[in-house]
Amino acid sequence: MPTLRLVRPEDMNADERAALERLAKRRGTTIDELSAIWKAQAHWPALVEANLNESMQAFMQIARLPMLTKQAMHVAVSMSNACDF
Amino acid sequence: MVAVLRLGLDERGITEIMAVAEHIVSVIAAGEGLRLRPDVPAPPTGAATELVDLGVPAPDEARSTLGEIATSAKAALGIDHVPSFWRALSRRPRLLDAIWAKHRLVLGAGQLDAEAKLAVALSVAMNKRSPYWTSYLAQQGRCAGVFDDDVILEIAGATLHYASFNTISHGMMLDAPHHDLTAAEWQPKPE
Repeated sequence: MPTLRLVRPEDMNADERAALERLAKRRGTTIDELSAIWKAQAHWPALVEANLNESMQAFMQIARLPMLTKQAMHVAVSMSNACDF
Repeated sequence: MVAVLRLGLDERGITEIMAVAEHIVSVIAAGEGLRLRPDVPAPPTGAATELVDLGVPAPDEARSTLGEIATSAKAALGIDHVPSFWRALSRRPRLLDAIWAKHRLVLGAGQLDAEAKLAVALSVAMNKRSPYWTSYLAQQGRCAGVFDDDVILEIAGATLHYASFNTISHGMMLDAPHHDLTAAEWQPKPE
């Protein structure tokens, strides 16, 4: 059970909706299909924007490491942090 | 985890990632627990912090494995000494044999290649804040020609992001989106 309720599309205010719509558009998906990890941040739309930028620059952007290596790093770090998400 | 399944790994590949994570966490626990100062690529200077005396000669039973490690250290780390982690374990030869064999197994090429495993290992070492193993693994990657400053910064940036999102999922107590995963459910179907 999450600490806070996850923001549902029908309950969003304009700022929350705009932040998640920008995120969904950049990810080629819909607000409904966004992971709970994004919806959990939607109470503070500026944080969604900040973490989207972080994600694009630190993780999603293709640089020198192949995406499989980056995803494997993500799994390993999450395991070492006992994160079951 | 779904992402790596979609990218072609199966249950064996996931187990290899898990093995790198648990092995690196375990050697960090021992290395930092023994308060080893980083000695790769260069021996440390200044006051000793180690909890055990690294100057005690290794027992005869450890000499064969230490010789193998010395050869490996020359090739893989570009150094002429046996790293203090292995010298510390050599006081217990059977433990040294077991951990060295596991180290080679876990970081060797499998479904995930050795270069990817080194990046995974360094990311875990950064996340667990181990000066000893970040130095060791970064040097191993540089010697293998896999890492340079740019790649190490890319790994640090990615690790920053993983730590951030792991904290969000913990802090918000988010439920895991998938359970009882099987690789077949996520891998692309042949056309």
